[in-house]
Amino acid sequence: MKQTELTIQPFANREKLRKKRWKFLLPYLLVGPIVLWILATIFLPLINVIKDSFYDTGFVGTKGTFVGLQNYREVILSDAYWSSWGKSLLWVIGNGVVQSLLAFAVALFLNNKRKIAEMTRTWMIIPWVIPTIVVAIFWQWIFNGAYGILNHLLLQLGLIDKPINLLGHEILSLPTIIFINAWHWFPFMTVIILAGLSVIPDELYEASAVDGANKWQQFWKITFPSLAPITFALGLVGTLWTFNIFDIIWVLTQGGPAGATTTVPVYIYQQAFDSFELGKASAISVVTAILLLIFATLFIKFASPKD
Amino acid sequence: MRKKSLMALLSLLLTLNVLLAGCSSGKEAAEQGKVTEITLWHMEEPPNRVKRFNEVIEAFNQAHPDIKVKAQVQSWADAYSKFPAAIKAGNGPDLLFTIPDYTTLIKELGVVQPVDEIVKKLDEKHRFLKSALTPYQYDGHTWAVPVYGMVQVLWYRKYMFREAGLQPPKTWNDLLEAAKKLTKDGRYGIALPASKSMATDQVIYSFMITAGAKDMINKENKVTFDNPGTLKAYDMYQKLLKYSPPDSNTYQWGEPQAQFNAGKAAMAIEKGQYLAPFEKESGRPASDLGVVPMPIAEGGEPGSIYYSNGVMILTDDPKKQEAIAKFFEYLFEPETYGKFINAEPGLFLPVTEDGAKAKSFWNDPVISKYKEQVNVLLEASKHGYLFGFTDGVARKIGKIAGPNYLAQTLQQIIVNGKTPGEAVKWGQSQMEAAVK
Repeated sequence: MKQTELTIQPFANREKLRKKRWKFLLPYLLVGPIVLWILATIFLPLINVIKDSFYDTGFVGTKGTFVGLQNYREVILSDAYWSSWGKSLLWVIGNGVVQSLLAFAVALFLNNKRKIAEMTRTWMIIPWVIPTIVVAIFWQWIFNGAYGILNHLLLQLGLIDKPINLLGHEILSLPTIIFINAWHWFPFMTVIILAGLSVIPDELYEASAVDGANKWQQFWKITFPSLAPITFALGLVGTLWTFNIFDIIWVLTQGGPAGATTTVPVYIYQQAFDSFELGKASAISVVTAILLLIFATLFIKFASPKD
Repeated sequence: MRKKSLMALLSLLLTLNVLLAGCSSGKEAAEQGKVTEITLWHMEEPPNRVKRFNEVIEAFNQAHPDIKVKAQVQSWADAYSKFPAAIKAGNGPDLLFTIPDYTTLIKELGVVQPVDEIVKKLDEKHRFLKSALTPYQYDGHTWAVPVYGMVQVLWYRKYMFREAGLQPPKTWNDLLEAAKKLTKDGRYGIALPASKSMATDQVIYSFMITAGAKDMINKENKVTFDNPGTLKAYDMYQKLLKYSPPDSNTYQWGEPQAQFNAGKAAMAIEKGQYLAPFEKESGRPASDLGVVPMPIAEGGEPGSIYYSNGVMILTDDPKKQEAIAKFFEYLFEPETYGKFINAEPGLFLPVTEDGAKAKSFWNDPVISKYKEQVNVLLEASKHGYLFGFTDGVARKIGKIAGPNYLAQTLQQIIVNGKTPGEAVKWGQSQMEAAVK
């Protein structure tokens, strides 16, 4: 072998090795920043919350003393905590039912090529794009007990003889907020269901029509089963998202009247920033996260669509 | 080769960026050495208040070229949740507006500086109101400089009273009778807040004071909420709510005022913010706005809730503290001070004797139009009290004020159907658990 060939050979190998190393490292360098970001913004605060749950920290920024599992004992034995779970379950189920009904109805209506469906498809997302605070404010106006349009209409129609204070009613306040939230979020569910509907082959409906199936049977035998992967994902993610909603409840009622709309997130906020019990609020957060994890695990195990 | 060039270019850009940042911060530091910068956070968000505060501060900065006070508007909503974290991270202000129970909380962070010397000098020259200073004095020091006070009174629509042949209420019986008689034809006798909020806490406490129950917690944090005076106050509030709009349990500060100005309610109990917008919002002349001190219960005492708003010093830098002392000296000069507190005429009341006489205070267009009403407010300030600060300073009052237990007790009556006696007992147990 010539001298130059001897020189070129090791150089070519080094170059190959360098390229191989770079190819191996590049993906990690690209995802590295986002991983660091996630660690900094999710895992570090999470570890901090778990740590705080073992201290009797009061006001944010103060140092508490180590109390072991005392906060957890108080949470497990707290009537107020389990009462907030009751409100949260009503909140989640109520939102699930109302949003699902609205979303399915609208998606089925829009799943065709008619002009009205094409027009409605765009306007339908308006409730979703309006900022939550604006949604809360104008529904407050509509439902206001003294000057709200709803009370005015009901009085004019003779359906009530005095105004109803929906958002200040101990029984009606929670269903009212459920309605408002469902109105705000159903377009999101509609868009996803509509996407699912659009990929169901028409031949299935045609064949079932030939076999004499009516619309109701087509829905339960073809449409709903075909949407199983989507409804599973929506069920899991939607439940967790809905459970954790805080903003619209806080803006509308701050958990009142007299705790009637105090769901778990609202209760945690009140413990941390109204009662200045950060340690206890942290313990409540950890217990709640564990319970939600158990729910998610069971949901995936038993509700995931079978192939 | 292209990748190498790209990497080299990126590295060069990054280095240049760091160098430029270093240069600019160096330049800023050099400038800062000549000028002492003071950051001030206040929570008075309405634009008129922000504008007036900025005018006063800018005038101070012009008069003192070696000091620069920078005001930043914040929100009370963030004061309890975000400020402590910012302060602990070293991103807090040098000066922070406060109210007495908030000071007891921020003090726990270990950053609040005693202001004894500043207050002593100002007191000698300007004479602070006792009700303004006392809530900030404990543990042998003064922890904030009072800057303005707020007091509650009973507002009433004069023409409605005239038409009904009523006199302005002096006692609870007068008040109840007036509320009953004035509730007719879609109008309510009174608009009261009844939501779980500080607004409700404040009005209830005014009733508790006038029922003789102002001491609900002492300096040892012993709760004495459950007493005959408190029971009387809640009983009265429940009765008055029959003559208040049906959605009162969602009301805070704005709604009763809106009802009052719209002529939908004949009376309201609140502080001096009713003055400035009255003519414009009601469409009636200023002479129609009546005000009297809080009516008194039988066997009770005169008084109402009084908030001394102050400023805490959070910096321990001696140069900054010196600059801050000059700022306060400037602020409390009567001709500056009157202008400052008329950022919200009628709501912000002077906390010094010479401030209460200053031309700059009385010459304000709103104050001069409502002289009679302002004098009622100033007189009421002398009998002002704040829960947690009537029997020494209850350090844990924040744990009662934060969850609005006074309002929550009311909600046990109007939402959960408890009797006033049961509700007050409930409130007592909640407060005891909170301060344990």
